[in-house]
Amino acid sequence: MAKLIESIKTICPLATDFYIEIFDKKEAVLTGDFEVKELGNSVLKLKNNEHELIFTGKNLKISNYTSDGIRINGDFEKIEFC
Amino acid sequence: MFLPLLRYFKGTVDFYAEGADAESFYTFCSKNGIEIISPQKNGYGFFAKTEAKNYKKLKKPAKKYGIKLKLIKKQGFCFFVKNNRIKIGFVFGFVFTFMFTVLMNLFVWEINVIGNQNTPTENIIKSAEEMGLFTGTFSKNHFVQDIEWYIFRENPGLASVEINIQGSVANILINERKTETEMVPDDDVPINLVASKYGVIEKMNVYDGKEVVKPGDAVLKGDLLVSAVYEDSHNKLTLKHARADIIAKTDYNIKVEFPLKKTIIEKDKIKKKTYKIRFLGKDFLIGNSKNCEDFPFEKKSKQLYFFGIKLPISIIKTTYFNVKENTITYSFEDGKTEAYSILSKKEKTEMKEMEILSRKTTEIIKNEKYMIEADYIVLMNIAKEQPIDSDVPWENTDDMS
Repeated sequence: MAKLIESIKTICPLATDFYIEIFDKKEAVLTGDFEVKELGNSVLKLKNNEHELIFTGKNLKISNYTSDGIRINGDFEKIEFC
Repeated sequence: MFLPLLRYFKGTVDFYAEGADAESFYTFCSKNGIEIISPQKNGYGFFAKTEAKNYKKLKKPAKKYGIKLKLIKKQGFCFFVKNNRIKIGFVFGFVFTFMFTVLMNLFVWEINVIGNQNTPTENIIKSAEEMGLFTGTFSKNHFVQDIEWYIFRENPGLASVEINIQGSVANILINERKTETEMVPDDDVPINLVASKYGVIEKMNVYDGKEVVKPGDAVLKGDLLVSAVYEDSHNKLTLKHARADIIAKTDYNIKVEFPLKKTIIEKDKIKKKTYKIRFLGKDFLIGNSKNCEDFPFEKKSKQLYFFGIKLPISIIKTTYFNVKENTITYSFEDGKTEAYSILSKKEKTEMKEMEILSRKTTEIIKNEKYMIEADYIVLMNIAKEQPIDSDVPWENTDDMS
């Protein structure tokens, strides 16, 4: 599987306190302090300080969540940053 | 692959967390070390699972965020054991008993000695132990033939020894000799009979050879009594193994003495006790027998039983005693009695083949000893075998006469 690294600047040009790695649009590893705002199979909303990340797709699930970061698996269709 | 297996052994709990603030509850728990696995949104809450040990920790944060927790399923090895502990205990006990029985069957628990009447059982068992066969030893570890041969050699009077080790029982089958084997003289060796001491011939029974003396003759030590040279019925000289009983009147002498002062070393108080546990052939010493080696001791062995079943465990107690010296002084009368008792025993052993015609005793007290010298006139067999060297060609013509 080819690893596709999207820099935060590409997805989230204003964020400086977290880092995201996306693998083949099936796994996303976020390093930083996040809160889960909305759990769902097709929409997942995370919050880091003042910024929000919205994952849209299918079969989304949080496979690992600690104070250091979060890992999300599923078929990603869209990742939004606001 | 290992993580699900590990989780199975630790045990997991499936639950449903319902409430408006379910996400905050989930965030709080995850950031505070309470792992919530695979949350799946459903209605106003989510389904998830957590390790069995973490479920109780969810209650406080659930209360804080107004979450209702509903336990759905418990799964894992720890719950399986808890729900089936009686069955598991039974299975484990059965397996353990079976393994224990199989394992114990590999060791010798019992040694039986069968067939002995005159030879004491303790002697047989002691010989077996000296060759490494005793209770608690591994039953496949014995060289049976070597042990059989050793027991046979150490215990005269045995005709055969056979050892069978079956399972945990060793049977030592003994056959004793019915009669003593009589030593038959070798007729192939030419032998003269000469006088072992001086005397007057009273009676002669000649079985083989040519008598040279007759009853009434006085002979000296070394005189020829029966000759190996013999003329057979074919007038041919032949050499024989002479055999005869030549009874002569002669003298005999016995001296005995009994000390009137004796120092006896007796056992005094107990010095020390040590214990040894013998298990499966190995000895485990409890206590220290240092500095007790030169003292008298008594050993007692006790076999352990479990509801009548003999176990391969025994306890050997060794008691060491202090010693004290005791000097006993005998009166002359007592000394005389003891000395005559010794004389009587010697007459029974040394003179059992003799006929005593008369006895004269002389008693002396000297150097704190009571001494008796007994002079006898006896009838005894004075024939003594003496091999001969001869150039005469040796031919046993017995069958031709």
